[in-house]
Amino acid sequence: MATWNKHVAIGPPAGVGKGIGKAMKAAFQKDPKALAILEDMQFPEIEWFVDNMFDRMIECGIAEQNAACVAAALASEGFTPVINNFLFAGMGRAYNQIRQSILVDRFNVKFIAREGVWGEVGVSHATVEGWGSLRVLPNLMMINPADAVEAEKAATAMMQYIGPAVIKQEMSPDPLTIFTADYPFDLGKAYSLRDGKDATIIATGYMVTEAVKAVDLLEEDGLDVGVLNVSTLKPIDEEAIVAAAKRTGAIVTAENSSEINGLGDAVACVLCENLPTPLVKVGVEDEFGQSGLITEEKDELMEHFALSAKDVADAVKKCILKREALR
Amino acid sequence: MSQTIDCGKCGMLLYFGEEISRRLYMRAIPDEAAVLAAYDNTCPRCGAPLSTDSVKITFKRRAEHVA
Repeated sequence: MATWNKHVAIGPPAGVGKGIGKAMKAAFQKDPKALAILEDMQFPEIEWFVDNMFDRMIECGIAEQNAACVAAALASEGFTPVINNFLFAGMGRAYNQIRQSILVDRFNVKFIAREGVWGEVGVSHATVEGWGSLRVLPNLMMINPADAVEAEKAATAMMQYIGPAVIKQEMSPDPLTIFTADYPFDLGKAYSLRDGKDATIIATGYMVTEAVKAVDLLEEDGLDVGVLNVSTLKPIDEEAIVAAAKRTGAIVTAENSSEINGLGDAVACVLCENLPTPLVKVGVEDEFGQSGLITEEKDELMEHFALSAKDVADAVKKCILKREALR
Repeated sequence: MSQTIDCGKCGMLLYFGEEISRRLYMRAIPDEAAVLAAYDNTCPRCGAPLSTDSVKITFKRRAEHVA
């Protein structure tokens, strides 16, 4: 079995939404200016919010562009609005309003955005391309937590931070517990789960779980592979990425979204400018999400999009071959 | 090009975004002091007093431009 760095203890699966919900409850209790902006979608821990924060919830209905402008106006008066929705709706439909009315003036609006391959919600809701579409927007911090522990810490840090930020609540199976309760989450900083010698998997969100499983598969083949968790996509931790590339000389990225303009492209840009290194991306290729059958025996979507631990492990072997071919 | 401001004591990221002085007109945030003032000049994580001398300000730019 693989060994892990400090603050890492692999445990049973737990939902990221629970972590975000706990953080939101605490943040709303602490900050009387925090407001929930609803778009006909449940807010995390909705029952608690209805019982305790009813006067701090504003229902805007299925009118996301209006909701973004409402949030901008409230933020301009010193409030901290939090919008929760599917990414394609809350941020995709309101892309222009978010750019013009929130980001240009850098208003303190927070987003909880649901996106990812899994969910059985079909091509309209199971989007994979929204996350990458946000990366081009200035002033927006982007966070994608790996497990419930990191989700709680990341959402807490997001609420302490003053400025626009989005936390992704991925549609995926529940991730394994990755971190211990005393894990020191830091906005903008990557965290090395293990260092490795032969290659590094740079993963984000749910795919950290598949990366962790891939490490065990690769160990059976005698390979010592590191895992770097990049939970803040923007600003990205260039220093940690370059250090991993220096250490192993072979990088595989893993993400539960389009690999266009997501983590893989961000890491590729960092390496091309600083330390050109063989790289293989694991993510959704240039296609839309869709529904699939998910049972205890079979995960049709994981197979279809090639996002399993075995796919990550195969990518690592391919990347090592690329590195060796260049030597 | 972007700018970050970190707490000089605990390293908490306090600002990430456009380089503050790069906006020619209608600057939403006039200067770094305004960012720190939004935090009541106190780091929300470690409680350290914040001033433009105590924080770490980093610019990420490929070329020098007129500010």
